[in-house]
Amino acid sequence: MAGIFNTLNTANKGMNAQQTALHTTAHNISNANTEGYSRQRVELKADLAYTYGGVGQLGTGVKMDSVIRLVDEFTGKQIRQETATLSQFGTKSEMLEQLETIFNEPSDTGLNFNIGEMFKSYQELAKNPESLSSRTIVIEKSRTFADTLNQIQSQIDSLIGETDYQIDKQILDFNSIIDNLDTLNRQIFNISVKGHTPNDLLDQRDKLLMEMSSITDFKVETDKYNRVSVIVGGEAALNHEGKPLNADGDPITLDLRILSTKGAIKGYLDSKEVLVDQLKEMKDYGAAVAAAFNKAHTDGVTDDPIAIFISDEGRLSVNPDLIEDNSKLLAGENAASPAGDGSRAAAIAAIRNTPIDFGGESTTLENKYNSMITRVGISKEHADNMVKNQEALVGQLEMRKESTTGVSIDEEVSNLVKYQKAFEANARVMAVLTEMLDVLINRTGV
Amino acid sequence: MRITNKTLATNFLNNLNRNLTQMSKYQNQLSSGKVVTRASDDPMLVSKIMDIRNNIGMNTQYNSNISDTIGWVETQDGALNGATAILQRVRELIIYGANGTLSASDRAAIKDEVVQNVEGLRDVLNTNFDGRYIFAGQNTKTIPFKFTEAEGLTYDPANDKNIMREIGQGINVEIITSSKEVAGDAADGLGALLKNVISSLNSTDPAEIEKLSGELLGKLDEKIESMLSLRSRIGAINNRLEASKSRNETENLNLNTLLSQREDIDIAEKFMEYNVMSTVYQASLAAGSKILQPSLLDYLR
Repeated sequence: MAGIFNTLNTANKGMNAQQTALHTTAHNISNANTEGYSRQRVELKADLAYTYGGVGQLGTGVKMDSVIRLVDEFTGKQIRQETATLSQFGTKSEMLEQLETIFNEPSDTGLNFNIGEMFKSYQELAKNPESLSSRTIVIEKSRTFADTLNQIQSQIDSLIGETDYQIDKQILDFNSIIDNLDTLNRQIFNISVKGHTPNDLLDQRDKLLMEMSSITDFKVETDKYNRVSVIVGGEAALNHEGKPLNADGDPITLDLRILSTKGAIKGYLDSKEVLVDQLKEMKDYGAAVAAAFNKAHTDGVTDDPIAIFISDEGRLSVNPDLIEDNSKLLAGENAASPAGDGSRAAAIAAIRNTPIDFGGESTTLENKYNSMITRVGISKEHADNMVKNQEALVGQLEMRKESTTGVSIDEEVSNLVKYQKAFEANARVMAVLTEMLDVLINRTGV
Repeated sequence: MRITNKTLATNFLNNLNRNLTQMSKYQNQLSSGKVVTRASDDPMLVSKIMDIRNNIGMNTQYNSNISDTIGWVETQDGALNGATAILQRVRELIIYGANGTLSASDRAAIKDEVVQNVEGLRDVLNTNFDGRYIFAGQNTKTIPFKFTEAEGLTYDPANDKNIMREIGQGINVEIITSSKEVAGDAADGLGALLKNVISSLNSTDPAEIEKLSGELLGKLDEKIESMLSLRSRIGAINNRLEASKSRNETENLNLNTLLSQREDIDIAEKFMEYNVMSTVYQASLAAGSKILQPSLLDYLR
């Protein structure tokens, strides 16, 4: 026979279990908006039954097995991978957008416009070779062109500096995350070794891994104590037991610039490559312009040939001699040529339609610039499209993850009602048992 | 799939954001009037736009070159018209002066008138356009023609070059500015002839006076003839320039149309798209306020 006290104990266990489940529900609700939180559930099961002779097995109530967190490890891993790609192209798109802003095309202030204005001023000079003001205009337009070109070069140069700064910052972030993971690993171990599951610490850990995935791509291995190791490009950044050490016992620092193949670091590296190429191209461009103009201005000049542009590794400036004395700008064949001879100015103006050699590629100044702008535009467009695709993919994966780990208020509230009712019912059982005991003790017998 | 409150909120925010991005794109296009504002919007289109803009820039410059050249050539035509009239008058005076019955003082009076006319001719040939002498070869800043009774009408033999003008990509037109083209050789040209005419009118020698109606008159007719032919050459250049100008303007119009087709938005169409987008945006806001509001809590009392 089942003893009344035994039943009382069963009701007690029931109340206890429902209250604990309700507590976890409260924990879920209070963390409903916590970033990286996975909902938890108290796993209940029927406690060990005993054999009641001649009747069968009698249950002994409920047993709280464990508190589990609902996670989808595989989706988590996928999100980390795709986030790294998203972050790579997002970074690239951001940097290329800045490059586009530097070029500022198509516009009425960009380099393309200034090239046109400069050639126009030579046309005017060819038409008015007698005029000193035409020369002043040529010199001013040439200065504007040179300034714009130099400005673009300086801005690209400082953008390259910015990428280096950003990479260093990302590496700093990465190392600080590794430190945090190391600490978490130890805390997790201390709890896991006692046979428990540190749900909230694991959530924190997953969140850190998520943050890290936007910096670089990496592999994670988990040991039986739930500790993680982090491997970047085949090299360990964190072992289960702690940070990897070299033979002398000093921590090993990984060169993420080489090891990263995705993530923001790779994005900045890719951008830097584009920017460095672009800067070189702009410098070559400057040098080619200077060479073409100077050649046209000095070819066949017998008396003191003078350059128009002075090129300092592609950075242009108008020859100060010309600025000082603009009559030195030749419109005609020679300084001694008749005042109405505009042939040299016409020859310089004709550079506009003459293919120039840009290191193997022969095209006009404007076409060359145009093709640079187009290429930057195509790279940016590609990065933008990648970002769009990755955003959709990551969004979808986040949804899938959310469907497992997310807290649903409706669900929690209905659980609240469920556990409350169960608690009340258990209490009711207890009340009934109390009445039974009252009957037995106070009203039976004498 | 299990849907949570966060799922709804995230989906809503993502969609709202997408709508806003699209709205901002349309707003940008409407306020700038341009289809693209940066290369990545449509790299190939931007490349084409830059190309067309460059061509328009070049074309506009050529148009200004042509207009200026037409002005120059028309001034030349006017000057040659004046010069021909003066030579006609000189011709009349020669015929009059060749009359053997005239007294020496009559002939001196005729000579004075011829001198006046030649000075007039010098002034006409020294006409300037925009501060530049039109028949001075390339020495456009120096007065080309000088006249003294002893030397006749003279010019610097270095003034023998014409001026080139670029009126289209690789298309040059040569305008006749050479003093030699107008006045001929120094030895055998207009200047020498007029000097001889004056000295013959000055002379009392019957043989010299005889020359007036003979050799000199014949030569003057040749000079008038060559002046007329120069005028028709300049007229031909003018025609060519006028033709180029009209071609240039047609091309400019075409290029601008082409640019506008590629670069400018169709305002009516954009406004339609914008309004559709705006409706979608407002609908998603309204839906959001309805979807996100209720939860089980609202019904548990």
